[in-house]
Amino acid sequence: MTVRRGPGVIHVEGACGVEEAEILLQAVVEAPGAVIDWSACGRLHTAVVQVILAAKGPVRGPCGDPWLERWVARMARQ
Amino acid sequence: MNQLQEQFISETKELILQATDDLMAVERFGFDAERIDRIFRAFHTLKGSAGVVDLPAMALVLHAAEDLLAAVKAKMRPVTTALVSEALQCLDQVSAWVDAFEARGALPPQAGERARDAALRLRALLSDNKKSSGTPDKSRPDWVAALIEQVPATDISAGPLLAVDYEPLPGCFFNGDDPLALIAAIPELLALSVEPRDPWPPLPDMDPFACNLRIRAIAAATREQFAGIFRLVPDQVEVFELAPTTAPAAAGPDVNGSGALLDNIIVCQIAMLDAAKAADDSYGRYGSAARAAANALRHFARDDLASEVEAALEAAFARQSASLVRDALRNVASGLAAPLEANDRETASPAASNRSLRIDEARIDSLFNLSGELIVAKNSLAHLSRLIEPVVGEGDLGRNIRAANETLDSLITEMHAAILQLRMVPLSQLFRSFPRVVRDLCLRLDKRAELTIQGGAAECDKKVVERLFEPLLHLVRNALDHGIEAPDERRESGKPELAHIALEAARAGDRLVLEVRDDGRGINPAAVRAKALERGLMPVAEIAALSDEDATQLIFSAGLSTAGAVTDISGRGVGMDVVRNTVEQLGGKIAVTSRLGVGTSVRLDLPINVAMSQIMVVAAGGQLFGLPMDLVSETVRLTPDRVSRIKNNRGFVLRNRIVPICSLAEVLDLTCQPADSQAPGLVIVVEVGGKIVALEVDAIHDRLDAVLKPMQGLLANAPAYSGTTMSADGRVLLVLDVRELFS
Repeated sequence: MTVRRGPGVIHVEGACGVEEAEILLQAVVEAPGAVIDWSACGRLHTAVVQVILAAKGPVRGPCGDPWLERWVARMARQ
Repeated sequence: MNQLQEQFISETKELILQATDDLMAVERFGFDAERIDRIFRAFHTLKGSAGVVDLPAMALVLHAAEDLLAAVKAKMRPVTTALVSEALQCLDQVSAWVDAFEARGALPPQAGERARDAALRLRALLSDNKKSSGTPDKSRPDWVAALIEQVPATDISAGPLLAVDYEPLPGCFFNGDDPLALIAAIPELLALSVEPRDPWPPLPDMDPFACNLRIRAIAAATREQFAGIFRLVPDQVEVFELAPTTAPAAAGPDVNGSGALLDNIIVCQIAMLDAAKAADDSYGRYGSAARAAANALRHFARDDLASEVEAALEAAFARQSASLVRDALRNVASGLAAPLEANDRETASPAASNRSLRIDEARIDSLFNLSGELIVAKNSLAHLSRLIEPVVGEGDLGRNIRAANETLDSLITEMHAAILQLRMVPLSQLFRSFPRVVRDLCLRLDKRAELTIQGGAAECDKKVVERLFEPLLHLVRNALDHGIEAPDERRESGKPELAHIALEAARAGDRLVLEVRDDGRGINPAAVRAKALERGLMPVAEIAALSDEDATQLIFSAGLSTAGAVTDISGRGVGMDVVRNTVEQLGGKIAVTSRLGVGTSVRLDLPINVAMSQIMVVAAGGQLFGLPMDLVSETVRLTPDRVSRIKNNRGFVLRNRIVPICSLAEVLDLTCQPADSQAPGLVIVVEVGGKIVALEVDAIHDRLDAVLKPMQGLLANAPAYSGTTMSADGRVLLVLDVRELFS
């Protein structure tokens, strides 16, 4: 399990495949306004990134994947 | 390869052939609504099937071609040679890809890049027509200006940049695509934007597995790198080359989401038509407006409304009235508010009902081999039944054995014929590619010729048909390149400018006669003689003694080409002898007749079946050999007084011709007792390469229908034999290759 829920925060950890997108989406829907913490994540599948972008919620920490931090994080924080 | 892919391959090949035929017919006979429609449907189906088997590069090219043909269909583009050439090239490319797909299960790696180039070429043909429609210049889309601001100035001046607009298909995750992973593979990424393609839905309604992203990037990468990275999704990316400096472009229309975009497009078209009231080019204007609107509607799955617009366009053409299009567009604009009804996007068109059965060639071949073995077994049974006759006498048993043997014989013969029938294919398969060959060659050589084809329904063994293609191709090329004169020359000599090449086939018993005829300049026997002399093909005296007709046949000799200049089309002097060899290997004959200034005709006489040969069993030097019957013209029993000696050679006169006699045993270097010079000699007169030879043998045994097995293993290189078969009593019979013996 690389999508883990804590109080008011959803941790995305390690490498996430396409199937994690559904789990993450469910977590976001069930806990509106929760912070997504992706500081410990590895490579994320596009589907997972898409959920993070669509959630438009607060994102915590520099992204664990330097490429996503460099290129995509800005759009996730908008 | 699964069933779907197999069906795709065979169906695609069929469609390509049909579309090729139709394209050429349209080019030749002009616009024909029915044909254009058929071509359009063929491209449409091809595109659809390419999508089904997941070959995006192929679908990309075909889509572009389909759009072009749609314009032709709507009479917005004339049928030009350039257009037909481009469409044919597209089919060639698709055909090559289908072959690659069949062989390796995938397209070649550079297919994506090729596809984009081809699509651009096709679209260029289309865009000539759209100049008045005001479509934005695609070379630098607006988004580039916004994105390029992210790029540090130092990088902008660094060198040529590429921008990519990547819109992954909604279902791409199911194909295993990870679009951002592709972007991450771009080596020198300079700027990136990842945006929702459609506005994000409320989270509870979101489908996490539908990709709703539009990814745009700028990178200092090469086109090759991009081609490699996006090779599997060429239909989803658009690549633009950017000059080192980029001025910010004007902001695009403010569009939110697809619905609004569609509305905007329709409204823009109406505005454009309103603006064109007095303009003289309104004809082209309402055509392109309707097309733009229809395309946009189709893109958003509103085929119903698209058809409405197209119908209005046709009516407008008929009545020369732009207002019909404008009214239709207004209707559509208001109709867009209405909910979308049943989404009846058509899938691939239903396959034509087909009563034939596709069978793997290997299965037919194995059946055919078995039937060959059965014939050998039958031959030996016939031999046994003859042996047993004197033993059992004339009673019922003997009669019954004979009757059973005869029944078996006729059944097996019938079965073999039926199996041979399975291998028969109509010659039209062979002829099919020739109209295209003639067309392309005419364009290259600047000549005008029409090809007529007759007898395509005649059937012939598959092996013969397959092997005939190269020789026929060479003959047709030769006719066009050497035979047919340039239009000016034809006019001067009082011939019609449009030359005529005929390709005709007819069945004569178990032979097939093929003729390639042209009405060109003919073959000059003097030129052939001179060339033969120059190349030292024959002694001077022999060349001089040849009749004009025989001299003309020299064109089939190795190393003789009468064309002054060697071109890449024909004329390397290796062609005609190869043609003759192939025809002879198939057991056929070839002859040319020509009249200077009038034309040339090359006639091929071929067996319909190569598989079964009739063999004459002869004895020589105490051994049995098989002789192919098709070479035997007659057998003659010679009394010694008919044989005359000329030095060391013997010969006899047959119908006023001196025929040399060769002993078969001597030719084969067999030890044999000296022939009893008093006994009447038995000779078999054979015709080889236009020469007649009498082969002396000890005895002639029976005739056999036999299936020849090629020489194998150590014997594979034995030159004097063409194969083996079994004689009636079960012994291996070597069948002589008489041509080789006397070459």
